[in-house]
Amino acid sequence: MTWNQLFRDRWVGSDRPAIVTADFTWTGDELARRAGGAAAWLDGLGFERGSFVPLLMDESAEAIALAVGATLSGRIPAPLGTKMPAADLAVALRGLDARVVIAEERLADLACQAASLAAATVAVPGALPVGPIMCIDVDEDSPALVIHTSGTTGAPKAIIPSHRQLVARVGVYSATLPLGAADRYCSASPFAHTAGITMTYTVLGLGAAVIPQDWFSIDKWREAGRLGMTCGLLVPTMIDMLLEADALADAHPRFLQYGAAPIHPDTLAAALRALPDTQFVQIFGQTEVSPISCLSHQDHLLALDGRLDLLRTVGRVVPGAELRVENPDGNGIGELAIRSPHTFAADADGWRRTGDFGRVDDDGFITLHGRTNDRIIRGGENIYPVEVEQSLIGHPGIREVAVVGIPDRRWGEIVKAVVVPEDSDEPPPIAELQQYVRDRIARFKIPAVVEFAAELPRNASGKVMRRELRATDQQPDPSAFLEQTALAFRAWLAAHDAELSVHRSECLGDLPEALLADRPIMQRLWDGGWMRLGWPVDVGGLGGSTAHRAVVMDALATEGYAVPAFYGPVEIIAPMLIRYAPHLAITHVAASARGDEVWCQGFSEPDAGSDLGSLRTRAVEVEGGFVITGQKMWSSNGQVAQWCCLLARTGEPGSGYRGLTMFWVDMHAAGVSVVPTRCESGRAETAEIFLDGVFVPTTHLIGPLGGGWSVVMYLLQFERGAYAWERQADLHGQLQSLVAHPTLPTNAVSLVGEAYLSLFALRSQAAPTLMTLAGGTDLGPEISVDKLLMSAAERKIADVARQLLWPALELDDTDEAVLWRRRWAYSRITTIYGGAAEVQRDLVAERLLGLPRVR
Amino acid sequence: MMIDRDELALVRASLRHVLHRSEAADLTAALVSSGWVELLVADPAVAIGVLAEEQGSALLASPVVDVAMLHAADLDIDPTVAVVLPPLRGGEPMSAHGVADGWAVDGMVLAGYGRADRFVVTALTGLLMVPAGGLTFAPVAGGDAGLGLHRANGVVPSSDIEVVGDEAARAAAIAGGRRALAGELVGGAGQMLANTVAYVLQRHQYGRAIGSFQAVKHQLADVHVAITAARSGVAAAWQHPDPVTAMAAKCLAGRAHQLASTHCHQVHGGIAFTTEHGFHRWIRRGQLLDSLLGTSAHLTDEIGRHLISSAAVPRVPALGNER
Repeated sequence: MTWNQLFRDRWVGSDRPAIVTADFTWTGDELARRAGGAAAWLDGLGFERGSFVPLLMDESAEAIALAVGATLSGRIPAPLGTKMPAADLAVALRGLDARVVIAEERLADLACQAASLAAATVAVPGALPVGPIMCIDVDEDSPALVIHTSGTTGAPKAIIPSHRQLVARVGVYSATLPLGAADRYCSASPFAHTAGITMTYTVLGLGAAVIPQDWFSIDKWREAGRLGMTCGLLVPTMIDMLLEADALADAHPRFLQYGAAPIHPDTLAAALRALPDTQFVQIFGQTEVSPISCLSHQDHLLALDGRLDLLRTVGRVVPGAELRVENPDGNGIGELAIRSPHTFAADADGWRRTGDFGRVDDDGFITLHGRTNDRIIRGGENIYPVEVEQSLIGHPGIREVAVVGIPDRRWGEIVKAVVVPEDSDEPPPIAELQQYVRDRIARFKIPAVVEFAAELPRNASGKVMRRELRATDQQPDPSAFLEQTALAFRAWLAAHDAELSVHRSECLGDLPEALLADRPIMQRLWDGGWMRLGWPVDVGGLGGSTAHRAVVMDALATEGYAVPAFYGPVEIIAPMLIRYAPHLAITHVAASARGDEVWCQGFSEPDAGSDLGSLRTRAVEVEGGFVITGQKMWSSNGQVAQWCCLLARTGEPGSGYRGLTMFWVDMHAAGVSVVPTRCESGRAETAEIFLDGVFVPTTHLIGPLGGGWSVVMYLLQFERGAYAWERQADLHGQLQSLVAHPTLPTNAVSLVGEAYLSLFALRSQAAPTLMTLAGGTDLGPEISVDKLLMSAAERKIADVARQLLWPALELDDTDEAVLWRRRWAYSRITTIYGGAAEVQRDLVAERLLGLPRVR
Repeated sequence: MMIDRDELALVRASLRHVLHRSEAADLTAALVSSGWVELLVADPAVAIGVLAEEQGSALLASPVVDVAMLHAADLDIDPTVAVVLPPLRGGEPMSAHGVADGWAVDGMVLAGYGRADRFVVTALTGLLMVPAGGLTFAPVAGGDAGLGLHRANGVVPSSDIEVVGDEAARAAAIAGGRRALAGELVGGAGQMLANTVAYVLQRHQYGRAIGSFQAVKHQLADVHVAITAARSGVAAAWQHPDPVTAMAAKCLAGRAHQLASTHCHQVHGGIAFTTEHGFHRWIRRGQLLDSLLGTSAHLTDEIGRHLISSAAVPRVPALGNER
C-alpha cells in the first residue's frame, strides 16, 4: 500500500470536505484537482520524478496542495522551517540537491538569501490552477516526503519516510487517535515539523479533513473552533496560554492531542474543567518515529483520580511496536529503543535508538529521564536532568524549571537549574530550593547553580533548548558551522566536477592569461554563494566571518584545485576597503571577488622597499582631489590591474610615516603607465607603475588624509595572516602531488617528513591567527612569526621538490617540470615580499622579545 | 571544556607552586590533592600540557609522561601504575617482546620507579600490565641524573601478564607520551630563551647591550619562531590527537629545543660552557627528552614514510577548534 493509493481511495471523486478554511472549503476531489494543478506547475519548473521539492511555506491550503501534488506525482515534498536562518536553510537545500526552492511571497527574501547560498533559484507560486488529477503508482519503498528534525541541538537533519512507513503510521494512528470521515483536524505545529506535515498526511490518510493553520495564536484556536475542529494538536505551553486567556473552551474538540513536554497536573486539571467532554491524548514521539507511546484519555482520568504519577509518564508503547530499554542501570534506566513498521529512520538492526533515557514500570508505563545528550556526568556519577526537574517542580514558588550540566573544572560538570518563578518579583530563595530537594534526591544531584529567568527558551515545536541554557556559561563552538560549510562545499564541488575540474591544473601561461583562466571558477564560487561568505551584506556578501571563506578555500585545495590567482589580492585588500572606504567597497569587493576586476598594490618604490616610511611619490591637493606623481614597483598583477591601492606622500618631504595617505587609483586614468617586470619564474609577476600627474578624486581616499600608515598596517596583517592560511592550503596540495608521485628516490622519506613539518608548523600557527582575524580582533606583532613560517614552508616545499624530482625537474620541459621550476623560483621571493624576513626578525626580537631597537 | 586565558594562568601558577614545593617522590600525591586529576578528566590538554611545559621549564620530573600515556590509552590513572618506555634503540616502539617462557621486558622508566607496583609495557600485540616484582631496575645516570631515569629488565611469565590494551591503544599511548614530551621540550626551550634574553640585555660589549646587535637578535628571533610554532603544534596535536600529529609535535619541539640549545649557547659566549652556569642542564635534559619515544630525526622519517605509503598529506588542525 502506498500513501498515493490511500489518498486515491479516500479522496478522489469524494465530495466530503478535505480542506476547511475561513474563506473556502475544498472537497476531496477539489483537493485532488488542485494537487494536479500543482503537479503541472512543478513540471514546468523542471522538477523531475523522484526529486525533492523544497517548500518554504507555512501551512495553508495552497501549501498542502503543493505538497500533496508533489507526492502524488512521484516527487518528494520537503517543507522547510520558515523561522530558520538563511544559512541553516542553505545547508538543508544543499542536502536536498535543490535547484529551485518554492516559497510563499511573504518569505521570498529569506528564500533568496538561502538560495543564493545554495546555488538555487526561487519560485513563488501564484494562485494554483486546477489541473487534471495526477496520482501515479509508486514503489512502496520510494520516499514520500522529507521532514527536517527540529533540532534542539545542532543543524536540522533530513528524515525521509517511505510510502510503506507513512502508511504504517496511519495504521498506528487509527488505533491511537481514532479519527474518521466526520472529523476536522487542526495542528498548531509548524508545517515543516513532523507534527505539521506528517500529521496532515496522516489525517488525510485516515480520511479526516484538515483545517490549515500557519502559526499558533489564541485567535486562530478560536477560528478553528468556529470551523468545527473535532481534534486539535497543541503543546502544553499553548494549553497554558489558552487557559490564561480563558480561550481553551472557545473550541470544543472531541480529542485534544498534545506532546513535546509532560503536562503539569494543575494545567491538566484546569484543561479538563474547561473541556469536560474532550478526550485528552498525550503522544510521545519524535521525527524519526511517532507515536512511540501514548497516554490515553483513560490514563488521564485515572491520574485525576489520584494516580498523579501517571502524568509523569508518557504512557504505554503503541500497538504493533516493540520497545526495549538498552543497557539499563541499577534503576532500570537506559536508552529507549523501538522497532516497528512506522519507524522512519532505524539503525541497521531495525531498532531505532531514541536518544531518550527512560524506564518502563511493571504496568508498561514509560518514564523519561532526559535526552542521552543531556545526561550530566558529575565526577563520574550520572544525573538525569528530568529527575532533578521533577524534584523541584513541586515547590510552590516554581512555575517551570529546566536543569542542565555546565562545565566545572573540579567535577567535569555540575548541575545548574534555570527556574521560572511563579512570582518574578519575589523568587524563592536559592538556599530554600536547595533545601527543598535535599530530601528528595541524592546530595550530588542538588543544583549547585540556580538562576531565575522570565521564561525558558523553546524551539518552534515547544521543546526547551537546553543548549541555550548551557550557553550562558559557554562560548559557542565556532567550528561546528565551519565544518558544515566545508562539507556542503565539497558536496557542491563534487556535483560540479565536470564543469570545474579544468581548474585543477594551474595555468602555465603568463599572468594575464592565468587570471583569465581563473575567472570562470571565481564566478561560479561567487554565484554559488561560497565566495560571498564572510563578506558583509553591504558589499554583496552573505555575512559570517572570514573563516567561512577560509574553510572553503582549504576544501577547494583539498579536492585538488589550484587556488585562483584572484583570491590572494581580494583577501588582502578587500578588508581594508571595507573598513576605511566602505563607499568604494560597495562596488569593488564583489567585482573582484567575482573575478571581474583585478587589483594591485602600489607601495614599494625604487628607494623605499622594506623602509616604506621613506617613500617619495607625491600627492598634491587640488580642487576636487589630488594629483599624484612618482614611481611604484613590485606591484604584483600591476600590468593587468584595473585598480591600485596606492600609498603616496601628502605631507612634507621627510615627514616619514606620518605624512602618508592611501588612494584608490584607476589604472586606466590619464598619466598612468605600466611596465611589466620579467622575473626568474618565467613570468612577469610584477610591474613598475609610473604616475605622471594622475588625478584622483577626493572620494577615492582610503582612510583619512595623512592616515596612510595605519591603513597599510591594517592591510599588512591580512597579507601576513589571512594570506598565510591561503598559502598553506595550496602548499598542502603541492606536497600531496609530490607524495603521490610514482617514482621517488630512496631518501624521500626524510625529505617528505621535513616538508610536512614545515606545513604542520605553518597550519598550526595560521589556524588560530585566522580565527583571531575572523573574530574581528586586530593582530599584534605576533603576526611576524606567521610570515616567517610561511616563507620557510614555501622554500622548504620547493627545495624538497627539486630533490625529489631530480633530474627531471632540471632537464625536462614537461608541464610538471616547468611548473615546479616556476614554483621554486617564486619561492625565493617569499622571504622578501610583504616585509623582508630580516624586518620580520627585527620585529620579533624587538616587539616580542623586548630586545633594544637600534637603527 | 574550554578554559580561558585567566584560568589558564591560574592553573599554570598553581601547578608551578606544586612542582616547586614537592619532592619528586610525593609529587603524585601533591598533584592529586591539588585537583589536577579532576582537571585531567575535564581538560586533559591543559592538565598534561601545562604540567609538562612547567616541569620542562623548571627541569623537574613528574609522572606526566606516564599519565599522558595511560590517559591516551583510556586506562585508569593510578599512582601505583607506571609505564616502561621502549629502550632508546632506533625507533623501537616496544618495551616487551614475547619469548619462550613469557615476555622479555627491556625499557626505560621515568619518574615511576619506586612508586609503582605495576607497569604497563608496550608490545607488538598491544599494552600489557606486568607486576613490578618481575623486573629489575638499574639507575641510568647518563647525561642527566636529575631525570630519574631507570633501565627496567626482566622476563615475566605469561601467567603474570594482563592484557590491558590492543594495538590501537598502544599507538594511542605512544602518541600521548609524545605529546607530553613535546610539551616538556617546549617548556625547556622556552626557559632557555627567556634566560638568554635576560642575559643579552644585561651583558654589555662595545658600550652597548649585546642584545642590540642584529646578529644576536636574529638568532634569538629564529629561536622564538621555532618555539612558537612548536607550541602551536602541540596544541594542534591535542585538538586532533592521532599518531601523525603527535609525531609532528614532538619533532617540532625537539628541533626547537636543538635550535635554542645552539643559538642560546652561542650568544651566551663562554659563560654557558662552564658548569658554574646552569645552561648546560637544559641542553642535557632536552637531548634526553628528544631521545625518548623516538628522536626528531627518526620521527621525521617516520612521518615521511607514513605520508608516502598513504599517498596523503593530512590537513590538520581543522579551523576553529583551537582553544
